[in-house]
Amino acid sequence: MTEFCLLMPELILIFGALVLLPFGAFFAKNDSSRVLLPSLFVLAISALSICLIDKSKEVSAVTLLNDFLIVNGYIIFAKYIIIISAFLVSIMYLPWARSKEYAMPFEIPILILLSTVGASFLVAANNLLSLYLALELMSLSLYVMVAIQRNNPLSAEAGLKYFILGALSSGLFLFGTSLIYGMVGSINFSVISEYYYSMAITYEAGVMPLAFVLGMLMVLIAFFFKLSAAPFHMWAPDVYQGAPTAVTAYLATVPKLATILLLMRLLFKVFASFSISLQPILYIVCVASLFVGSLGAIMQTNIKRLLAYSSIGHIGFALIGVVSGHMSGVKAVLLYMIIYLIMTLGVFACLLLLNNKSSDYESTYDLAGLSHEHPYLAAAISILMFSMAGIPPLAGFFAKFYVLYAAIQEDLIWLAVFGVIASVIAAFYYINLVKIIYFDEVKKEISFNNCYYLNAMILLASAFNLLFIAFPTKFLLLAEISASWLI
Amino acid sequence: MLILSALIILPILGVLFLLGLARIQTNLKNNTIKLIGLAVTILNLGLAIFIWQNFDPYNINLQFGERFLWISEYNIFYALGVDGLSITFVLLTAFLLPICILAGWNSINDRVMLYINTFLVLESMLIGVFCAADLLLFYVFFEAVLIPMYIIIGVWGGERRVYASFKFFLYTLFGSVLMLVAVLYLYNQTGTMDIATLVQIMPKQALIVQQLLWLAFFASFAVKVPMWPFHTWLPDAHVQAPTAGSVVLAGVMLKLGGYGFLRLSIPMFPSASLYFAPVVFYLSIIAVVYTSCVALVQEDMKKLIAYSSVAHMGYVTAGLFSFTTQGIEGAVFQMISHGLVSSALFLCVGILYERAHTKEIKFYSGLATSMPIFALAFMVFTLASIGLPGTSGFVGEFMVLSGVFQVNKIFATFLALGLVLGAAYMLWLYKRIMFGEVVNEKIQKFKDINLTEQLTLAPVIAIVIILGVFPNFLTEAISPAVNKVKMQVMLAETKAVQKLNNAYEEINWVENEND
Repeated sequence: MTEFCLLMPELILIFGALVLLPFGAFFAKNDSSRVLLPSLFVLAISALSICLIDKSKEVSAVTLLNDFLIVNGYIIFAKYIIIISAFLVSIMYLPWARSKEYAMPFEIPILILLSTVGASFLVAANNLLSLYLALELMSLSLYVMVAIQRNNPLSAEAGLKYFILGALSSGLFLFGTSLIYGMVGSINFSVISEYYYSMAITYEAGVMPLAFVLGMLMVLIAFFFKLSAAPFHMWAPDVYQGAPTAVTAYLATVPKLATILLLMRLLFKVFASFSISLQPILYIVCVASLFVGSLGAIMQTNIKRLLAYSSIGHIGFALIGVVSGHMSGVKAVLLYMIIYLIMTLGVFACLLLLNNKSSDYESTYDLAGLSHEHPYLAAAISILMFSMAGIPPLAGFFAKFYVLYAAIQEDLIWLAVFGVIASVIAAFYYINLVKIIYFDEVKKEISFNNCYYLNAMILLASAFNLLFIAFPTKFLLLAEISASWLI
Repeated sequence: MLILSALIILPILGVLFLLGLARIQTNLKNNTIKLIGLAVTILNLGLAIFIWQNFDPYNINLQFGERFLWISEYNIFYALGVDGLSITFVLLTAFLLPICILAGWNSINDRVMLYINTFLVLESMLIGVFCAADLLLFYVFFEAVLIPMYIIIGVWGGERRVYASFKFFLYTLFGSVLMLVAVLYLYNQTGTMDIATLVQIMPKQALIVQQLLWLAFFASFAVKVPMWPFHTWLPDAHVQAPTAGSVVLAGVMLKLGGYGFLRLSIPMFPSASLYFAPVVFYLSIIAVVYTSCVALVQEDMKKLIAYSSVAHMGYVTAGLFSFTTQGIEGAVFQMISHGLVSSALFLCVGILYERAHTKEIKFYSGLATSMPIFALAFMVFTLASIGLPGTSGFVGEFMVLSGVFQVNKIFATFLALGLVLGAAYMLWLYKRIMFGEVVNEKIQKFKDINLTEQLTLAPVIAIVIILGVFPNFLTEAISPAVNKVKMQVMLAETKAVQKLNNAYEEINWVENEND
């Protein structure tokens, strides 16, 4: 019974997806909001059910389904973030579902539900098999979502690219898994972690069997692919651009959150004994992401491609926290991801608002002179951009502040310096967007339908960014409690 | 009493009020918005004067202190407080902001709402920097200033405004992020962000740590001051910014650097400051002599004044790092005086630009015939900029020179050379635009300055002369704080000397043993 209770959030999502699929096929051919609204309801109920688990008792690391999954405070926190962000993203699909010109296929909400189930199993996985299954469930739904606009060649290309590279990374993951299984003889995380611990005592770091390092490395690479951390980022700009904007919003938030939350579990729990020998690789990925993210975006004129690079940079910054390890690092990463989530949602809400009509605002220069006609939207976009650039007093600064502090606590001053240098370079393209909105003359008439949900989302995101300075500890405390489960 | 918070929040409330008003009344007139903005800034000035009245100059501690736990896990406070130094800068800021809004009264008609709002936000951030008693809070305000300034230069600036605003933003951001890393390092070492505590702890740290941290802080403040060779953003930013933008930039933002040196770098790292003082001296001398020469050959009035700003700030840094009472006090005085004088000069250029739409010196000649009142006002500021006795400029420069003279006579001689050059370029500028034949017919039709313009210039003239005649008015408040800083450095110096003596004694002792 407890197992059933603890699986409630995912079960609700799965049940919802299964019911909505035939329902949609019969009744929502023309009006996909008939599926979207129930799916929103399902997500909300699922989030509430986590609330119940959280409240019912102090959960002390319970394993479920024969060690298949695990639930503890950290994982409950992770599921909260994932399901709530899926809910928020889904709200942004409403205008698409209601638009007449290019209707949203009714499968999209169902795919979101399934992908969210995958993400939420992913963070809770307790052995390599469940990890793989969850990863695939999450990714396969995403491949379909990206390629959903069959008539659009860009969308098809993006889907194909994402699928092939995703399949490659899955292959690497399986290879790594088989190496680990070959050495350890078990796929269970607790067994692996204990075995690694005993091995770490036997071998000096650096002289352990190659298969170990290789196995861990390949598993990590698979996750770097999903995170679009450099040098495994090549798919991101194309996929971000090709996918429908609403799908990109999902792509930029939920899977990345799930992956980085899992990555921290892997590094600090499962591979903990060897995480020192993995450090150099993390350094490389971290610094590469920082600089690819900041340098790559400079020449971009497509907003979605720009956001892809920006997210690579943000992942690089979050990885600074991961590399620093320990309590303050994990706390900083959790906070960073929450703030990243809200900034990204805000930016995509702005894009969706602008994309509402048949004319797409894809190039940054289409926004020229936005501040003349729409001062509030312009102000919101600028707030989000300055926040992403990490300029105080906005929330983005505090995200960076905590991460940098974590790095300095671990004496990684050089990494902090790299981080701030990359953030100065990145500031260039963020303020360039502000320049286009505020300094340039109007090039073409900018018009869009006002959408109540999107406006609310934009308002919430920018208000959060502005007011975060007044309550910087509220989220920190939350992050700290959940981080204490990991370290 | 949360009077300092009130000072910071009042402009923000003004912004909210304006936005709310725009919601209720859709057809808000531009002049109404400007009037409300002006009212808010004048109210803030009144509040600042009230604080000044209640300020006790003989108390060396921070006054009107406020302290609330801000980031509880990290033991970081929202702490404010003013001493003699900060209160003068707060006053300067509060004084210049109404003038800025008046300066844009006629010329700014595009997106007025945004214009007034950015200036109000800017005022709040600038006052925040001067009031902050917590290092993180200081940093937050210090960097937040960039956002409104970027918008001001970019939206209402001249032809190359985009280039200038980017250069300004990225240049200063790069300087300040290095400071962020240093701030975090400091915090990690000491576990506190309270500036007063850090000032007590940090001087005891090893020299090499102090030196590295000093350099990181230097990167930020030297760009802001700006010191040669980090000054290249300034001429661009000044030339392209609208008049009011130049006023804030020259009047207050450049002072952030000097204030930072005085509040953070010197008291926290006195040994490192002593170590690097010669470098600062050399850079200051180059700044004074070289940029004065550059100013001589400028053809654009705004650029000329911008370069003269760099030269004047050279005096400030030289005075600060002389570590003498006169030098430091003179530097602070010079900052205030330069804040008033160069702002006023920019206002004058703005007045001309509104009439002729050019800043080329060549275009103007014989203005004194058609604009006599303006010529008089410009004369006062020119003389104040040169440092004529009786104006505020004299007091600052004289004190700095006498301070530096005590330390190094050759340096002082070079600095004094700057005075001559300063007189040369300013008087030559005055001669070229005010006197001579009226070549251009347009100039004959120029109207003399109107009431708004008189209102913007008159208070500045009054204060420049008052400060020149009664410098005590300011130095009384400044000197306790300055002496505190000086003591800090002297303490480090004596400690170093003691260490040296101990080492000598040890050597002697060892030699005696060997005998």
